[in-house]
Amino acid sequence: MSQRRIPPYALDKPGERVLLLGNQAIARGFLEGGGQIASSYPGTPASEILETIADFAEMYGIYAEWADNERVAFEVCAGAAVCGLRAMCSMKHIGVNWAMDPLMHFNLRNPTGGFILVSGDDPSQHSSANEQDNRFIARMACIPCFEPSDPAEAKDMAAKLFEVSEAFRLPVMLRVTTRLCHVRGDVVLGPINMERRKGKMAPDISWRTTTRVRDIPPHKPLHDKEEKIKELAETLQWNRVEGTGDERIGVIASGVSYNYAREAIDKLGLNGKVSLLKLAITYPLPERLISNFIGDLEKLLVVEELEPFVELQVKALSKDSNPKLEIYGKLDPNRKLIPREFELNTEIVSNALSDLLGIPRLFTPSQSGEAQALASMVTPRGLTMCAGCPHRATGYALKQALRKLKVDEYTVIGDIGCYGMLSYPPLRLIDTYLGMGSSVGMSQGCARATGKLSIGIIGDSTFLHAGIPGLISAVWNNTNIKLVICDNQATAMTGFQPHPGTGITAMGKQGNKVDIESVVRGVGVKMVETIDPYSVSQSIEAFMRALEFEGPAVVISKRICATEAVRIARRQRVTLKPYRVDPEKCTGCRTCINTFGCPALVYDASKNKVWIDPVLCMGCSVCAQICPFQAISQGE
Amino acid sequence: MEKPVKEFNIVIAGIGGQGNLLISEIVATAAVRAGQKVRVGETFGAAQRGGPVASYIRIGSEVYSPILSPRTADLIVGLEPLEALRNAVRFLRQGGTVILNTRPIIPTEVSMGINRYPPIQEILDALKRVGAGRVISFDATAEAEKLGMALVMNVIMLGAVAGSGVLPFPTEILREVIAERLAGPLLDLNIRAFETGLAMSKLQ
Repeated sequence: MSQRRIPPYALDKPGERVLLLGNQAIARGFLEGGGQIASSYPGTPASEILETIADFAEMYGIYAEWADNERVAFEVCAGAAVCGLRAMCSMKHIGVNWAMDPLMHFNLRNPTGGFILVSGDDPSQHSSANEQDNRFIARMACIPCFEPSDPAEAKDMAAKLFEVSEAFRLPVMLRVTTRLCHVRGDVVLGPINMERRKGKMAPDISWRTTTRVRDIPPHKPLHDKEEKIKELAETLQWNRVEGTGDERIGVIASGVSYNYAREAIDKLGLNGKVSLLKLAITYPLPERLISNFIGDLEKLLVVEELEPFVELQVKALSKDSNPKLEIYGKLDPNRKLIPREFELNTEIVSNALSDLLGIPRLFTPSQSGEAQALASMVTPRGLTMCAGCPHRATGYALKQALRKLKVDEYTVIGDIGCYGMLSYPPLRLIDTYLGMGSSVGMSQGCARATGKLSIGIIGDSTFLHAGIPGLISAVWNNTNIKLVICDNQATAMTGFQPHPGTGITAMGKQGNKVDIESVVRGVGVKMVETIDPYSVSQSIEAFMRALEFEGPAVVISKRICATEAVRIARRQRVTLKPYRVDPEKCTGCRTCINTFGCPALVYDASKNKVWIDPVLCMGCSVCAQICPFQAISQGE
Repeated sequence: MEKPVKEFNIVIAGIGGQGNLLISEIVATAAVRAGQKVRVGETFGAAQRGGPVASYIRIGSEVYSPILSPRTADLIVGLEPLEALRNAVRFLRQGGTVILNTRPIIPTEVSMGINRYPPIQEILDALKRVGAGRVISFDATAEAEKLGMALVMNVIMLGAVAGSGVLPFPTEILREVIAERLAGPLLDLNIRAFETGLAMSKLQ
């Protein structure tokens, strides 16, 4: 590490003010709080937490790893925590679904080491398939749920939560959202905690040294802890009332929503008229603090993202402390001032406050014809796979194989990864999907239900994360599915993290490589084809063989992610030669665009010719193989 | 320490792969170093390359939210013309500044004939109609190609931002952060890119 500039999050300079990404700030909090073990599986918006810890791990004597999935990541950290080490397990909101099973046991295990579960929720689904609100998972598991409002607070909270977790011998949830994870802000660095414990399981945890008494319900101590955490919540330093105490209208805002509420009150000039309670713990709630805050109010607006989690609890509290209080947010059927879907912003909160107070809105959409005309000029730009993406070539070959075999009734179940974009034009290949690994299981249900050809498409990292049990099931039951494994040798969609198939660990060490083809053959798949999707005709033929096979068959489409290939070439100073279109030969038929659709292919309507944008083209050659007039060739 | 500003809002708009996040990090780091409070909102993850990416940089003592409110951007930096317009329509304040790379990247839906991409002159006119006080525009990708690497377009645009003189901190701090953040074999090229953009912007 001496060879390179030490990034700001790793500096041993207490008091220094630096710019940190929210996820980097959480990782820094881990360092300042004496964390020793971190494990995770990549998932936006949480991925950079583990990446950052892995980056400084060696420097500070920490262990950080990518696990094969979130459940394993959770269990690794749980193992460390029952042996007395401070551990952090970070994942995206949907990842917590995978960790639910161990979580619902671990909350009863009294770890001696601090355990933080970071849940990165994604309101507005910037890069997720749903908007679930994981505060309900904290409540279900009876573990406290903390919500920081900005990177600086997230850092301090992460460090402090190790102590809280150890004081109660209970895992805690740090619930963050995209607008915390992917926000940069100024943060003052604190001292690094260099206590390094030697792990040893506490005698009161091990059943080898205690009597495992089955007649005591283990939930009673858990519920007792919850009562004690309520007391901690009352004095938590990050809860704050902003106002004079004479206001008749109040706002309660949690986590990132505090920023929108603060700015809305300021911009509307409502200081002195509207008070604000900033909440940093949303389960269990500081009941006295809230009862005092709402005691003299006439109206209350609860500002939180996604579900009415705090609002429901405050409604219950108000029955005793202020039964006449009018509470607004998401629940009042006649006046839903805060939407339950999508992330919030200052505009939404400001307009909600204006409506509540009966004053003019600050933000009104312009209805003028001019504004409409300008808005209509802005052509949408859909998500797409990169130029040269091997998944596009895989999808093309599969579609051509289906066409050649004249199969017109079939189902295609996708999975979680960049290849999910094969559902967009022009390929439009995928019917639907569920969460991680669903292509393998769901395609079996489709095969049983329809009796027709049933295809699943899954990526390398996703297959290793969640696809193997489904494939075993298909082999066992001899279910006739065709599984395409798009092996681009990276967890590309979340930022090119390594996975077991690459053999490289999070800390950049050489581990052992898990070979996907060996796994597939090992579980008993008889028909396995491995293709290079950049070889178009061979790929089509291999797909045809697999589609015609009776019984489960797997096609492994192996080619490194195009973006990764470009990066490697750049590092090695290799110039990639873009392809070009010979305008003499191009007839303007647009077969390349309408059947393949690489973004480097651009149609010039004025000349009725296609050209290739050399800034985007990385030289994969697939379009040259597709062109019916051989008009495309590699440039010099 | 600079005089703290109350609120200065920047949008950096482009598509994935254009180096949007790097220059937003450099601007924000420079602002922190100048003693300002900073919030940067970004969305990244699903869009590797090709999807729209916008960074919101908010500088000032009265700033809390990481997301901009409508019509409050003082400066829009467009790495791609259509993305500049997309953000200007929603975020540009009356009299705000737009700095634009005029090189378009055509969405596949346009090549397929499903959608229309407005000609560059139409986009420049639209920026004025939206209320831009000042528009600095040039083909920054062509300038980057002249330097031998299309990839440094983002740093050229960063130079153009410095040259416009609208940032609430001195250019020297930007140079300092670039020297640290981009230290390595490509530093000289990046410095040349920055100075090119700075000069291009002063010409207009």
